[in-house]
Amino acid sequence: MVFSSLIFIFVFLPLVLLVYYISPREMRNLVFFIASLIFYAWGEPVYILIMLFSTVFDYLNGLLIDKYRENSHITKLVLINSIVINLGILCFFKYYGFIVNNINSLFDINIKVIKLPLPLGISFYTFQTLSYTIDVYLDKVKPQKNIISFGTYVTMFPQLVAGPIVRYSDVAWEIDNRIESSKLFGEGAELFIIGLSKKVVLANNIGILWNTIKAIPTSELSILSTWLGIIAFTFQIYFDFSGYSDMAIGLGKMFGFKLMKNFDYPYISKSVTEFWRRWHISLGSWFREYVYIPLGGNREGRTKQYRNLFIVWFLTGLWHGANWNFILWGLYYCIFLIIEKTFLQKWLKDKPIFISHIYTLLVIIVGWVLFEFEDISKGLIFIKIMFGFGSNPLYDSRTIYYLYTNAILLALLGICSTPFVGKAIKKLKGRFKIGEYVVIPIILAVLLFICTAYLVDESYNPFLYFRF
Amino acid sequence: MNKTNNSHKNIIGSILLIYIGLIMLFNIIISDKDFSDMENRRLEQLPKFSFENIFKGQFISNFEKYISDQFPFRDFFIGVKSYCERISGKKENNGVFLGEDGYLMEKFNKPHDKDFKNRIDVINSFAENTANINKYFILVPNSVKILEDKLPYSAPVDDEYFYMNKVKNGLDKNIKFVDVYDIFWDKKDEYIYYKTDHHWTTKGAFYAYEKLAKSMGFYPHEEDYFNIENVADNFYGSLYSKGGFRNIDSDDIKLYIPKKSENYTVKYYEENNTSDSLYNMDNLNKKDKYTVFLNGNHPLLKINTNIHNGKKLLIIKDSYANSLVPFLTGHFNEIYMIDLRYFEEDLSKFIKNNDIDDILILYNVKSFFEDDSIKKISW
Repeated sequence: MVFSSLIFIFVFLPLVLLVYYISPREMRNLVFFIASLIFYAWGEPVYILIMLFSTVFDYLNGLLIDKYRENSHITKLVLINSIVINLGILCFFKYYGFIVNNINSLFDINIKVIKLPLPLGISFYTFQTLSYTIDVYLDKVKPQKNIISFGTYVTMFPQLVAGPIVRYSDVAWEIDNRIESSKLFGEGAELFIIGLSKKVVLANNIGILWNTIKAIPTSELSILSTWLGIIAFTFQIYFDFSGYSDMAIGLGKMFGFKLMKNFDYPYISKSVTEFWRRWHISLGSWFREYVYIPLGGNREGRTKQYRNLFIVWFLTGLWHGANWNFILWGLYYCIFLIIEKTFLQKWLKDKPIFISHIYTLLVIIVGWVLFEFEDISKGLIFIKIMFGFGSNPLYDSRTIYYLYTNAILLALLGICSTPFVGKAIKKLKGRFKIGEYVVIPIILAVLLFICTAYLVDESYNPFLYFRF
Repeated sequence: MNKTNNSHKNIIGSILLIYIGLIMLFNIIISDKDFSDMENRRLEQLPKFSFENIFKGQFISNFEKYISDQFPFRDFFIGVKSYCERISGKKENNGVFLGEDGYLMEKFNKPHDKDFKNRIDVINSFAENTANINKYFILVPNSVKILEDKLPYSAPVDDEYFYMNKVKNGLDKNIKFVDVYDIFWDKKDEYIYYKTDHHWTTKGAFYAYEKLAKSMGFYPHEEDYFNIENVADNFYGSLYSKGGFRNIDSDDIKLYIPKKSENYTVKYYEENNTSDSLYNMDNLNKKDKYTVFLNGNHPLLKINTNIHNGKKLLIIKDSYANSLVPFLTGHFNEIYMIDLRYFEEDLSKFIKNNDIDDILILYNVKSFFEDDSIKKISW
């Protein structure tokens, strides 16, 4: 199930809220756990077994480590076992085809690829269970003795599908001691509506533009159309992903959880380094915590630091998808991060601020081309056209049409990519009571109403063969 | 201060809950609908709950469809979305442009070279097979070309005129290409296309009739030969449904009824019934009012007229022909209409057995290039 669907908002959510809030406190984790399983099983009935296995497996690992705390051989063994099994599951379902294809082309052999659909959210929950076992091993958190509580953590439906990746240590206390409140619920509702609007109104609509431009043969593209297209994608992926994260965090709050922020206006960054502190924050900090720092981070000299960065960004790229273009995309960022560390950040410091912004946005936008084209050669052709290395015209009538029919949407996307709206709302709240009690609730109600209209329209499916 | 903050949050929380609650309430109160006229399809009904259904995954997907299809005030919400799109400056939805003066026009996408050649080849091979019969071909441009001035500024559509000419030049000389493009271009300020439907109006068909008569060598009746009756003024056609735009003027449907009464028998083969009228007036109460002409499309029908000149015409056609044929009944004794999309018999036998004198192939540009049934024409 996805949040941005009628069935979630108007059937699943109200039923779960109802059952959850009429249940006594000690039953709530169970209700939440079962709700999460239904949420997951909806459309993925078989793969729920993998998730349940993951849950039980790491629950036991936590207990084992705790029991044999004195015996470092055993605890180490349990830890390694957990890492191998968790990553094994992830690799099997996500990377099996990719690995086999590469082996095939490398050795010119022909091993059959079994195409398995990717289990929903597997990249997210394996990272969560993994972080739990590691943290228990490092004695950073106490192991969870209650399987329902642990299940609640792993399967937590608000962040199950697309994050944020919650570390056990962040919610350990809340799982058993959280206090729901109407204030928290209201905050959650606000975030949910905002996230829903980002996804349904903004991301989906600008996505149409990108899909249109992407479908045009490269020989018929103009230079400005390629820019327009990839900028549309730049907006689409941000509003889609951050909208989803907002909804997740909002839903969490409705049930008393405070999940970490996952996006912080990434497109206003003044450097690539800053961008990665603002984009998919929970993933970045996971890799820092569980890969970069254990490898030695920056404490063992330049060479080792570069090696560590290389590994982290190779894996970050790979995490996004089982394809070389994602790895290339990760390493592309690695290069810019290293360049920034060595000299660029210093150099940019005393230059006008807009230069930093332009530089950063350019890197990001070109990066999305690498990210979006699974066929690397196609992506490179697209980049070539963008920078005028082709016989494509600067613009054509299509460019003009796409530009003016999307102008309002693009302007809206641009504004919403900056903290401007948030700041304006804060000001409004601070200065006038009416803003707080009337204007903002009305805006949110209207947004909710419009989102409903867009979601209902998704089912508008005229039978097109009208017997011409 | 802290307290005021809380009550503001409470308002927002309550809004969400009340909104969802109300929708659920309406969902229960309002009874389910069977059919959507706008979409021309059956709406999903509450699926039967059984464990078998659940395991097959059918229940889940059907239940989701059911929730969206039966959503309270569904049509209203779809209208709201359409308004939002319009406010945001969008000019196109689902392949339909919102043009000036409320004209909806469907996008034309050029055919692939190979496909183009294929279509010409089958027609030419048909021409060889029927060498002794007079053949005429009308390719009707769509509103998206003739009314291109009304399209949104610099809208991305391919040029129908270019491909019409390519067809004209590629056809066997044995087929007379009746070019209606120029006359349509001249008359583009008249009401020759519906605003909300993909067809030509009866007036458009009349101009094609005049052109065809010249080509076939008979004198067409003039406009004052007919009583022009306005039989519907609230016609919202296929493009209205497809594009989903709201707040648009409806179309009129006019019938050209000869002042001198003519008698016909229309025989519908598949349905196995006959009628003494070219029009099915009941259809004017339905959504798709264009089906007033000859009751829509049929694999095969025959019209006998009281013009006893012995001339037999076969029309191989799409639905544009339905509003043209009423003009031709004054000039032929027998008219057969074959719609290749539904016609499953042997075309060669049919032509041989029925002593056809003239064959008219009539398609609009879009359906000629987009519908593959034309390939059934050669044998």
